Amino acid sequence: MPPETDRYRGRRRRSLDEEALRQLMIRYQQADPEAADELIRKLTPVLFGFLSAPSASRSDTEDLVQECWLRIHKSRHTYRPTEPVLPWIFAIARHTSLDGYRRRRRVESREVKTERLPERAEMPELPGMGLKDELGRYLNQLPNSQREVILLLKVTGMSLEEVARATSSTVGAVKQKAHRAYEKLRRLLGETDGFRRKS
Amino acid sequence: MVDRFLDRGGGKLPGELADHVADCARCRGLYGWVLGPETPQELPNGVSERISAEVKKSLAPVKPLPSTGRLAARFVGIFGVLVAVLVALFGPGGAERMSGVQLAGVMTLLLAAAGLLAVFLSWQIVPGSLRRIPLSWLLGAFAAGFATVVALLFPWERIPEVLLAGWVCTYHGALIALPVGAVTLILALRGAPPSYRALGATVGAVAGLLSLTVLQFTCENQHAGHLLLWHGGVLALSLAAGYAAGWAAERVAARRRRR
Repeated sequence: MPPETDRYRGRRRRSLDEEALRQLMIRYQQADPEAADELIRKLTPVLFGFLSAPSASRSDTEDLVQECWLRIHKSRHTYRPTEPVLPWIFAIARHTSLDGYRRRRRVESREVKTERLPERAEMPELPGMGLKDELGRYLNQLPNSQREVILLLKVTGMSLEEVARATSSTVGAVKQKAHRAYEKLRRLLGETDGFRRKS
Repeated sequence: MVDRFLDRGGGKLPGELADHVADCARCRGLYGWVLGPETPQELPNGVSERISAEVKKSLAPVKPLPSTGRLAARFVGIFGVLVAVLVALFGPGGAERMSGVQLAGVMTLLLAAAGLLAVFLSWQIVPGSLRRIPLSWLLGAFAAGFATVVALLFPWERIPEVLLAGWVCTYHGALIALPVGAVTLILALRGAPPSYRALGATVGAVAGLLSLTVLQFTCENQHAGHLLLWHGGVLALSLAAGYAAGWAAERVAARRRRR
């Protein structure tokens, strides 16, 4: 086996420890302020990554993160200690993201009626741009439903079942969306390779 | 094949697959990117502190909701009590006209549908619940089951009488569905349903099913065409109305958030 295959041994590592989160949630439900602080500190960066949208500014994303936390706080009684925490958190985050997307679409459609905006320039491919940046850029070209599945799998390390819980879907539907997303990402990567070879 | 390993979150690739990933730039890139560590997002200054301050303003102990099974049992219990009260109020004329086989067939179907809808509603009011079946499948299966049971067990009548004599049942069914829908909604909002549209559809389905059940036991016209069109029509109308109400609620909530 070529030496590079040793690299393909690792498993996707969760960025967050589920058991620690569960204990924090239980204490949060009991109104422990330190548990609330710790949860917010651990989860906000991941939520920020998930709620960042291609067309949204950082301040828009910050507003969405705050809105998401208010919804989490209001719904904290619906978390059951026997269930995993991340699907519960990201189910709420997902709907916050959908509401944010609908709001932006309504605002943008009103702005276009009064003034013709210049076309948004495609982000240029810069020399030395890493594969990671490239794939991150291509992620924005996926349909929303596929993008959110890939983001949840990658950013949080959740399993397919947990992503199905977070997206109010079935495991089969999540798998299908993920596979279609991988297909499209491969196609986009292949097109770039072909373009690079020609130039 | 690589995608199946991605589904499982990685792991040691078997020989041929590992060779392919080593040779194929696209698969190698995708595999490494999906499974690789994510760089934590750099947050704007003070975001976490601002959120903490806001959350602590209303930090109080809360009691977690009961399990899905217990919630569903409560919903079914309330459903049963409401059906019993309404049938007692309007008189069990329909039940008296049904044969033993018809009663058994219809009751089995309606009880199963009520139980499954109650489970679905319990899933819906708790974010992150694992849904093993979509609502559309459940309703589709019920519609097919209702049509089959009615078509096979109940007598058919002449078409003009079906069309002329049935609208009163749908009207009464709608009048029952409205307050039942309101009660169901109040109970559901004790949870945290993420989507108003989906909740609206489910509440509409529950209210429609309850109306259909009451009509089945109280309506003296037990001909198949009448049951399918006018009683079944109550469920369809109620489902549509529930979804539309959920959509409207979503728009109102979005406008409020903009202010």
